[in-house]
Amino acid sequence: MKGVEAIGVSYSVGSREIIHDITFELEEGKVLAILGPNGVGKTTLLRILSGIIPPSRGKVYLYGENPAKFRRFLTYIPANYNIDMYARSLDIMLAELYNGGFFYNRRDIEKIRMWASYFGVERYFDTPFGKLSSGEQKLVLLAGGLARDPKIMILDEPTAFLDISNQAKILSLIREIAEKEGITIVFALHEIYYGNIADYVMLMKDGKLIKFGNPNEVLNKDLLVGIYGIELEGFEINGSKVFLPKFSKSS
Amino acid sequence: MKKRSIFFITSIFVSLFIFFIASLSIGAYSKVGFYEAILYLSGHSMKKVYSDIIFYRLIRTMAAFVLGVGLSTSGLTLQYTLKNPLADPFLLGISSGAILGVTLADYFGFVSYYYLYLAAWIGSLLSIGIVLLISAYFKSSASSILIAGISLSYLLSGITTIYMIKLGPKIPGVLFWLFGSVAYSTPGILYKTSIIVFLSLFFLFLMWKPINSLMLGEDMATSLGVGVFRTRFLSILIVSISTSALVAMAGPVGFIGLAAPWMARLIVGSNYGKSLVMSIFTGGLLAIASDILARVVLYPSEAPLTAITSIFGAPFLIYLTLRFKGRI
Repeated sequence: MKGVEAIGVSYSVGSREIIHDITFELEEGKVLAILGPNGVGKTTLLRILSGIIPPSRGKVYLYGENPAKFRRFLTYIPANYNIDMYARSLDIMLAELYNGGFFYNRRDIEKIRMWASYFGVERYFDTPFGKLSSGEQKLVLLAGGLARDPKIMILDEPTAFLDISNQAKILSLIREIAEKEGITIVFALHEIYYGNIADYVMLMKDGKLIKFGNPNEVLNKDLLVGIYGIELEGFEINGSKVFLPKFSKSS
Repeated sequence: MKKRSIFFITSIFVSLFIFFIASLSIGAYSKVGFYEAILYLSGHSMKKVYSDIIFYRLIRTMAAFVLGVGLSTSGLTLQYTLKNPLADPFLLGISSGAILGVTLADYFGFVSYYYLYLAAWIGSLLSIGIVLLISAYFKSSASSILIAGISLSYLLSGITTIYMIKLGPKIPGVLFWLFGSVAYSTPGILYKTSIIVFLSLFFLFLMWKPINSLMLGEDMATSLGVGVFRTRFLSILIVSISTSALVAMAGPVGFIGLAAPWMARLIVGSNYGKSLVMSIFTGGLLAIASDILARVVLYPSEAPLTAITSIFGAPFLIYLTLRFKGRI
């Protein structure tokens, strides 16, 4: 089954087209990382995939359905969330459930408790969201997002503002969720190296899809230099490719 | 539920009961006290003059309760829908729009409750509409919406004052209403206002989950399937309907719509549904307590209700502003 299918997706703001004719498919239960410089349209594409904004042209299907009809099984976590910082973390997670019923039932609370303890944030139930660290906030949002039993998760820069240990924690949890729960995951990120944890990587530039494929094919020095427009140095660690900007040190 | 919350909820209920009885027994005619109020409520017969006084105070107390419920639930709803911890019907200019509407209706001779209510509603819708347009156009932060609301309030108050002076001999009656008071509520007006306030509350309760999800921000709420614009539009419409009825009954009363929702949130947490239920009681309690104080501070004369709520409410607003410093 196709978890995500985008066919000729474009998006314009006024006369300016910021997403150009993007077409790709992602099988159910796979992880896709979207890479590209700032302002290439990664967030806009994720918002279109989540059904928050409709594409100007083209179609998106999640598990064969229109995103607007698939919302019950979708979790979207933006990079710059505009959350009520004074709300308790438990109330944030409950708000993320939003599954149609008029009241929350015991099962809903149990699911939140289970995921919160899985991510180690159960102890923050009564803590205002704004008092948590960035990493803890992301874990709270992930726990709430998982408690609604999604089939697909769309995460915009889940590693932004996190230290290296929290980045590793979030990414290994994402991998684990996809493997254990069979959830399709699409996420955008800036750290090229982390593309290796995904099943597929998509490179974007100026609103266009430049390359889509497995990390070994896509994380290619020439392609990346073309996309980011800087000199890069490439290494290989345990079979995964690492790219860093080349610096010239003045003596 | 935590012990601390249970303690506070119990305290609110007990205080509400005590203040309700106290409100029946405190007033310019001190012979009708606590004991007589209990006798009256338990159905004992007494001198007509006593029972009339208690009945008057009962209507007044119930008017204060309805006022508190309406303002508090409206304030809470605005705080969620506008994602603004400082939102309050009074501070956002809704009350000032309603006052101008009522004053103009008075000026042009439309003095029945329905005309006054309709005028208040149109005025309140126009003013919140202007504030929201300003905030949407300039993509304002929570504090600049507040500044727009307060500025508009001043503008509308200026126009209101000019028309009020033109009212001539009718000024004294309108003036006390303008200060905000439940002292002149009649059973008929209380009845009509209560229906509007509790119907509005019912609809807000029906919408509690979409309103609650707005705490996640527009994008996350939309991705969950919440019609963000529809939820905001409907809830602000309901709030304006409720607030207009309250202004038509009691004039503008500030700060209850700011303080009572916060009391509720601090007790039961940030879930909108729970806070909505709790703010019924914190609002009712604050309004009744303020009305009692209004009767006591200038005894045997009376102070306007707004004077009391402002004296306690303004420092609270400063406290909240400082608490949210850098985030609004």
